[in-house]
Amino acid sequence: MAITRTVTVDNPGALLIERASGEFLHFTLIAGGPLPIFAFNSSVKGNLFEAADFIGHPKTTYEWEHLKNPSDMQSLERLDLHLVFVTNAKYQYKVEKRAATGAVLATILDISFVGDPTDHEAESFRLMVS
Amino acid sequence: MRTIFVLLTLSALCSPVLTAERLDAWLRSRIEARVLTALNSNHATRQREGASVDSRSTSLVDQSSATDFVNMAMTLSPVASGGAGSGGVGQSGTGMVTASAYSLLAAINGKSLTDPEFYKQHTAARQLSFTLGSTASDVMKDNTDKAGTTFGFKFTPINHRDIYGKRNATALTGLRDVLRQTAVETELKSEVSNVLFCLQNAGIVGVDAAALREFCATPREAARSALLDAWGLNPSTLSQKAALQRAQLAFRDDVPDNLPAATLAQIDGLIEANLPALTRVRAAINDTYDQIKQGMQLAIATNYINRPDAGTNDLRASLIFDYGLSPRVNWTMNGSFDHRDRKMALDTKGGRFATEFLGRLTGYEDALWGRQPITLAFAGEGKWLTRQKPQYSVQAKLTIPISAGLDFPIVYRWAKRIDLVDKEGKELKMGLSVDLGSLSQLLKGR
Repeated sequence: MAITRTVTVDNPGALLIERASGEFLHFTLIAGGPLPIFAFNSSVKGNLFEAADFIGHPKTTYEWEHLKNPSDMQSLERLDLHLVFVTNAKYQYKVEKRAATGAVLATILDISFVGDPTDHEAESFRLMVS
Repeated sequence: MRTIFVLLTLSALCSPVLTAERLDAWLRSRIEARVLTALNSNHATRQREGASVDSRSTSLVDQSSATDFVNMAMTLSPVASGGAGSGGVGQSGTGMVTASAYSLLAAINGKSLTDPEFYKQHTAARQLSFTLGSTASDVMKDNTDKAGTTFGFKFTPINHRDIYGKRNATALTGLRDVLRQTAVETELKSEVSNVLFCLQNAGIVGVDAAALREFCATPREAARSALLDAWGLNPSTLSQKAALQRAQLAFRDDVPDNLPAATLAQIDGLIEANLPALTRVRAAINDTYDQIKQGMQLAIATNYINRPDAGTNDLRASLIFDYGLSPRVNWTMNGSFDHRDRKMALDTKGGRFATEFLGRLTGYEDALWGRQPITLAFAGEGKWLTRQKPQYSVQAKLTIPISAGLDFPIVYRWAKRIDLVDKEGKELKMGLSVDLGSLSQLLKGR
C-alpha cells in the first residue's frame, strides 16, 4: 500500500489563469496498461469524466482540456485526478498552461505514479482566475 | 494596525514548519486510516517453474495459468538427495522456457507487453502458452543418461482472473461508477485546504482582518469564490482580492507536521461527515481486486518428454483447477493421465492426483516490475500407474524473490515410494525462475 511518486515538475498547489487572454489547461495522462481506471473531478462541477468516457478506451494516452470555455472559470476551483491501480500499475500525469493559440506557456506539473493493485492516489491543485 | 498585519503575515510565512506533506497524500492517509480494511493480494499464483511432469522440477503441482509473457525455469541442483525426485546428485540440468502466445504476438507486432489496446484485443492469446525445455535423465529410471527434450502447451478456457473476462468486466464497471464518488473527496480537499490556508495565513497584507475572517469562515468553496468575485467588483476591495489571490498562490497545499490538535479535530470532523462515500470507493477497489484475484481458473495442459535412443518417453495430460481461497491463499488441484513409454519394456500408464496450497508471506514491492512476494506452498501427490505400486509424495516449497523477475525456489520433497524403487526417498532441491518479461521491462525502465 504505497505509491511511488516521481516528480519531474512538481505540483505548485495553486495556479493563476488569465481569463481575458484565453489561457486554458491541457492535460495528458499516459497509462502503463493494461486497463487504466481514473476519474477527473472539479470541486465546482463534481465528477467531470472518467477513463471509460474517452473514445478508444483503453488506450495509452488520454488528453483533455479545461477552461476552454471562460464561463467555466471560477477562482479556488480544485481540479483533482483520482488514479486507481487495480488494473494499471503505472501512470504519468502532465498538465500544461496554454495560450489561446494553443502554445505551451508552462508545464504546471509532470509526475509519474507506480502503485500496488489496491492503491488509490489523487493529485490536485487550485485555480486562481485573474 | 498595518504594521501588525505585516508582522502577522511574516510570522505566518516564516513559521518554523520543519517538514510538510502534500495535502493530497496527507489527507489520503488520514482517510485510509478510517476506511481501510487491510487487504492485499498477489499475482504469485502464476506458475514460474518447470512443469511437474519432470520429476526434477521444483513444481509438484502445476498451476492453471502460466506467465502472461515469457518465463525461464531451471532446476539448479538437488542439494541433498535421497531420490525423491529421482534426480540424483549431479543430475540437475533441467531447464524450460515458457512463452505465452500473447508474448509472441507482442514481439511480432513490436508492441509493449502492457499496451492497453493490444492487451484488450488479445485476451485469448494470454490463455495459451507453450513450453520447450531440456530434461535430465537417469539410467535406472529413464534407461538413458542423455537429456530429453520437453514440449508442452497449456490452455486456460476458464479464466475468471482475466480483467477482460465478462465476470470481471461487470465488477470493473461497478468500480468505475463508484469512482465518480471521489468528487466528494475533491470537495473535502477544498474544505481542508481552506482550513490549512487560514491557519497559516492569520493575517494577510492588504486584506482587512474582518474580511479575512469572513472568507475563512465561509464553509463552501463556491461561496468563498463568490465572495472573492464580490471583492473584485467593488473598487474599494479590488486590491483586497488581489492580495488574497497572491496569498493563495503562495500557499502550496502543504500540511505542516505540527498541526494544532483543534485543527486536526476539525479536519477529522470533515472526514467523518463524508465517510460513507469515501468508504464506498475503498470498498469497491478492494472488492474488485478480491474478485479478480480469487477467480476460478481451469486449464488443460499436456507435456511430453522425448528421450533419445532407448530412453523412456513421458506424457502427461492434465486438468488443472485453481481457486483463490483468500487474498493470500491459492488452492490448486491437478488430475492427470500419465504414460511412460518404455521402449525396452512394457509401458506404464495411469492416473495422478495432486493438490497444493500456496500462501503469500509478504506484499508486493512499490515498483511495477518489482520483486514477487515470498511464498510458501505445501503440496501432495498420488500416482497410480500400471505395473507399479502407488506412489505418494509431499513437499514444502519456499520461493524467495532475488530481484524483479528472478525467483529462487527451495523445495523439500518426501516420497513414500520412489518410482521403480520400493523405498522412501527425500530430497532438498533448489531452482531458479527467470521471468524474462519482468526483467526486460525492468531494464527498459532504467
